[in-house]
Amino acid sequence: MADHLLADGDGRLHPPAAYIGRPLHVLLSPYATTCFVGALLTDITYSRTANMQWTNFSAWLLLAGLVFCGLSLLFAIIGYFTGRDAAGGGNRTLGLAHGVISIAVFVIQVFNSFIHARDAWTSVVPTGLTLSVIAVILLAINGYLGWRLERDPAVRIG
Amino acid sequence: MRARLLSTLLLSGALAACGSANAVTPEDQLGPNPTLPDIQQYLIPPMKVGKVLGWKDGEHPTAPAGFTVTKFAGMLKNPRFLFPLPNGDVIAVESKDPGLEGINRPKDLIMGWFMSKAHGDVPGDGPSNRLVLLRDANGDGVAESRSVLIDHVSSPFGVTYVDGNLYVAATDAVLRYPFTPGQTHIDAKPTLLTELPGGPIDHHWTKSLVASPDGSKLYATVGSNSNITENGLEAEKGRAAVWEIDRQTGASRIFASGLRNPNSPSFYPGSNTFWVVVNERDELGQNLVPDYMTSVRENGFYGWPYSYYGRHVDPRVRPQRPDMVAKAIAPDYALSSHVAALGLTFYTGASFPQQFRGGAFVGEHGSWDRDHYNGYKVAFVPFSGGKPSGKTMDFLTGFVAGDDVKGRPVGVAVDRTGALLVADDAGNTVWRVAPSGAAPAPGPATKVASR
Repeated sequence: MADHLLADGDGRLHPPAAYIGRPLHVLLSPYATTCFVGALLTDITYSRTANMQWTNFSAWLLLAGLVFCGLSLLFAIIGYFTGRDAAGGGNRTLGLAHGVISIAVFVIQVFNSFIHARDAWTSVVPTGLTLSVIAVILLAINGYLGWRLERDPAVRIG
Repeated sequence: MRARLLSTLLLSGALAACGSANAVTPEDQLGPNPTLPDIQQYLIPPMKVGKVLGWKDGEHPTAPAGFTVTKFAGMLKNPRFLFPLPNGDVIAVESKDPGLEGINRPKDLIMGWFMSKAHGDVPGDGPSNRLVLLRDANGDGVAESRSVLIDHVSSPFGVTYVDGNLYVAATDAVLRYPFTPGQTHIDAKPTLLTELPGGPIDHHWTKSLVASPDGSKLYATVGSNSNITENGLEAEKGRAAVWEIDRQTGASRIFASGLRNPNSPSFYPGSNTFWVVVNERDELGQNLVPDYMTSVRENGFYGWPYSYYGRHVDPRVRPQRPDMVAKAIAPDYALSSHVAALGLTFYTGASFPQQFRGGAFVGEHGSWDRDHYNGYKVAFVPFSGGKPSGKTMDFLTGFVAGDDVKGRPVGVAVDRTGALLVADDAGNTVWRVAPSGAAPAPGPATKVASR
């Protein structure tokens, strides 16, 4: 049976099912990031071409990104309050910053979706594009924080 | 650059917060020189549509003192437009949105649901997209008999009769049917006179029709394929325009353009000039842009999409076209913002008091893009010497009850007796308004009609 067990960062063994209970947001957030980076790229393309398909692309990418981002936040918050997740462990400041930035990205992209619901040029330029840039910058910072958190030996995962 | 980004963010936040701050009132936007506020782009545009209740037995819209309103015909299915024939019969065009507009982005899902609440679909899914002949043989102001004149037309709206032919503007073509007034049914297959821009998309789908006074030309209105080019400029070819069609050959050309959603072209009595009512663009503010009526000049350009009300540039359109903006004609007469003016007829009867002769009745379907209703009535604009000569007055009201909607007026027409007929699509009724003295006793007439 031992080969069915998986080791975590501390060398402890868990049955695979335990991994499903582990930070699901880590699994989901890359999808959100991909969508939001995609939306930035299609926003840039629209601002250079005024071809309406690109702002439509952005609107769908923002919606999909919000679904993944929202689920990811939900699991992270549950993890936080049940004490199972990273932020409840070692580096509290880092963990909280990571969480606050994630919430900020979600809120910004909700606003951005409404901006993208406008018709034609002003659905993107200037406000929509601006929000997409800010969101992606925040995501990059958060990616770094998340990486630090995972590597932090003080942080207990699982 | 950073300051610019920050101010952009703050601005959008502020716009979302101060939705109701708007100094201009709907009344400031009636007449030749409407007050135009600054553009306001919301985070969530104010929207309000009512639940459609329909009319109970005995209920009817309200006309000024001295007029009586009767139900000329009830139990129709989305009557949109009316055409009185020379023999006194009245054609009511029942019509439905062709529904060709796909889901291009998440907004379309929400708007589809929202608009379906407002679009006069009182319960029941009876047949529509047909022309119904209404006959009031005994002249009591109630159509006691009706028949399906033409069935299965593709979202018809406009209809006109010239010289043994009935011309019907379906959403994608002008069709010609051989017809003699008095006929109650047309079996003959139509001849395709001219194709009009229809699907795909077909955002503004109502094509209306009028014949020139000498009968040689037809004028068909074709609305834009979007609010403001969000379906791409290539989707707008031949749209937001009035087409001139040779009645004999079907040859067509663009007579005037830049008219976002023009409807109900009507020749001013005794002139060779026709007027249209036009629905202007949405989502620039509660009191922007006013809908209007205007005389239509040959080869005139009226702004859409590049500008509104003359040379007010719309920032949502790219590429911008200063050359087109410079050509844009300011329309003649504003009807207030988002009233959705769809019906227009000049009063050519003799039974109404003198002040109404030659003036314009305007059917205002009613707003959705505001947090307070505007429109939902038939307005009257007095004319003298072929030009509007005074303030708009409310003529037929009572279509709104609190937040709920009983009906929504669309097409207006003057019948053989000089009474005003109003197609109410949400209320599935044709109303008849006549001076009280000349009209039949209101009580029994309403009762009979409500069967």
